[in-house]
Amino acid sequence: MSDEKGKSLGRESGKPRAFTALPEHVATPRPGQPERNTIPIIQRSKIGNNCLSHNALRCHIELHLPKCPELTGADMAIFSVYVVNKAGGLIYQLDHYAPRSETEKTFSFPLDLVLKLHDERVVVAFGQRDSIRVGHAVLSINGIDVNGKYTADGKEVLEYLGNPTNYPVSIRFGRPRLSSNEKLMLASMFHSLFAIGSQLSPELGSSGIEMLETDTFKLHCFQTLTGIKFVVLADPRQAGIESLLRKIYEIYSDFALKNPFYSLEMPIRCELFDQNLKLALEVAEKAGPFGPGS
Amino acid sequence: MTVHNLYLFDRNGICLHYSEWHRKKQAGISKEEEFKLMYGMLFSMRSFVGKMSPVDMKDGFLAFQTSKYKLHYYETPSGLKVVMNTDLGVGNIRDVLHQIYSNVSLGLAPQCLGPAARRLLERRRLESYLLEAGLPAEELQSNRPAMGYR
Repeated sequence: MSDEKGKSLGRESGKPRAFTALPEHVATPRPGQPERNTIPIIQRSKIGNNCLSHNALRCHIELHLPKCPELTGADMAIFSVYVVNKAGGLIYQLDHYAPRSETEKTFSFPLDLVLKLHDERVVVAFGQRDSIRVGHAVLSINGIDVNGKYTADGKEVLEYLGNPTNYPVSIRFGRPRLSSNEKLMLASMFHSLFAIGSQLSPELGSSGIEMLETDTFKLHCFQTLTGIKFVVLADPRQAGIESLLRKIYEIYSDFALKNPFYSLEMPIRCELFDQNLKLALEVAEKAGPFGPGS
Repeated sequence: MTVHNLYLFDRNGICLHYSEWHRKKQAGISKEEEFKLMYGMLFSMRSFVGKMSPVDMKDGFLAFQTSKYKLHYYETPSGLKVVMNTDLGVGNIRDVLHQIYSNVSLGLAPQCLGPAARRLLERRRLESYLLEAGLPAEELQSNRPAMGYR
């Protein structure tokens, strides 16, 4: 998906079409090939453009990968949508953003990063450099995906990387994607934070958290009279989220509640709800111009 | 522009300072319990926000608002946390919270003063700074004993 977007972006801005296809052998280093110590073969930066590679391929790559949402304007300004039932259970979740920043590098033994096991993932604990940050997880090794602490072909990641005979090795790092279990946990965590927010209020009759601000996103929450919470994560500068939340409530009433096969408080699996929600997000992204008073 | 209250926590969750000005509702629990609840909420909030963020974060959690108040949060690299509850009309006051941390020196009143005098001194310093910063915590209930913890 990101590649398609990138291609169309490249064409719109009048970039030559010759750049649209990157040969596969350039992008992935062959594992057997001897490499000098930690010279990056290639760095793929899909969101952040803080990539410091002086590789000649860099310009080549950036042409057809979408940049940071902050930089490309209205593209992908709404990150995700959560629907939480009145008991704090997650009944619907949608991620609506392009892949996050990922970096692939080739390393020789010994590895100059400290890795550790955290929440069933192998993450960088120390040795942040270039675009590999502390907290990033190992996503793939030599092009083979990593699930938790094991690679797709069943090797344990830390053990594999501790063995000098496996080097040089090419590792892809990036922000770990949330698993569905974690999303469930975060939804119920927000449910409690929402309640504590109203308990600690210095004013009478306060609602729970309606908007939560951070430097990278804003979380907007709308609780209906029946206790269902609609949560939207968006760019801090995205306007018109209030009306989007009302719109999502409307879509929920029309396409989930009116579906004869939907039972209350249970996960929403309705095709029409999906379609209309995606449509509403796109409309909101186009219509809601970036403004300071969002 | 109303300031409701201000909490200052150290890195271990101990409340170093607390003042309140226009607080219409108490949490219904003892102050110690309230400090624990507040710190626990902020602690969870930090981890929640770090996991939810689609990209790498720099400052992390800044503020949240409900229908009635807005909570502003500032954390120093050493883990000291300044939390201020205001009304909804207050924008980004990160710099004010930083100034409270760096200039008002809460918790640093001379040890030779008794606890009551220390609290009063800190409170006066804070009020004069907030007045300067354009967030007047006026209508001081000076007949009420100042609430401060150390």
